[in-house]
Amino acid sequence: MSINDLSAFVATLLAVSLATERLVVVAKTSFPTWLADEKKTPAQETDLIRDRWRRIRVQLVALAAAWVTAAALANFDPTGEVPLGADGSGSIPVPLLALLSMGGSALWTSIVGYASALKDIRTLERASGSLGFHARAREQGLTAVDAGTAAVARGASRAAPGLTAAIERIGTLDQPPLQEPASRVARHG
Amino acid sequence: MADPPIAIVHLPPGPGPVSVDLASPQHPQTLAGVLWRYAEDKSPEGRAGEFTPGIMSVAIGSLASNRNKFFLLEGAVLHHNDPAPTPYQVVVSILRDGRAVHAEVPPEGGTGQIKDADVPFVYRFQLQEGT
Repeated sequence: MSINDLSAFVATLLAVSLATERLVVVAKTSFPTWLADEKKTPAQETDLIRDRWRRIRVQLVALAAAWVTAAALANFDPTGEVPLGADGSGSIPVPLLALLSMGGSALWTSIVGYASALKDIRTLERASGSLGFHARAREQGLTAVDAGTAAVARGASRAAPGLTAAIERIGTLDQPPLQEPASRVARHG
Repeated sequence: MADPPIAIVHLPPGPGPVSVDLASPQHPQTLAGVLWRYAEDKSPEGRAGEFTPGIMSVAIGSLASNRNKFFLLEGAVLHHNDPAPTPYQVVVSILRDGRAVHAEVPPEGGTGQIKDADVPFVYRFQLQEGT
């Protein structure tokens, strides 16, 4: 199998899986009692024993849906060959493609779960980085301000020597002309 | 003597709170300051807010209530008796709806070194409607 055939095979498999998944969803929506309602334990976990027949039914529906979908690619010949690629140099039997694609739901659930896990990891990395930043700031006697602007001020325990005086001075200042040449907040001398 | 620089900050028309942030993002330092508001003819209108290490953002209202008004930020980088000069850089940001529209290092004392004496800085700007 050439690399082009492999690409065509993966694309075909994904397309059939997606179509199968949609067909299974339609079937589950149409017959929820038979296909969608999971049997749960009192702890609200899936009861693998009591839920076994429902799972088998879903598998059969998925196999049928995959077979129909794969056969549609082979001129509705259920035992035909599905051509791969534009030049049709390679092919795969319909039953084999159906078997590979019938895990549509599981396949896509796995892909979505994998993507979701990646997103969660990124979120945790960001949160961890933020916590680390704040921890390092605390170690250095600084208080990090959560503004994303990295504005940092010294903690109250190690305030700048002139902070209290500066705040008092700010409270007593009169409004200067706009062209006031220098700030009066700084302590001079 | 030349007039001190006044930054022109253009804010797009529309509602939304406008605020002024003061930060020292590159070199953590303690900042304090006071923000004054002036009318379009530069007559004083009073105190718009104060900056302390715990409050580094001052809400000044909407564009409609501040159109063409001037602001003066008198501030200082407060020293920590550092044994050697350490760099500082102050950044003043104008935000609309929490998003920075304008950010600038005050040209008067906004960057430099600090050791064992407070360093003053001044920033003047005018809010104008525009894109």
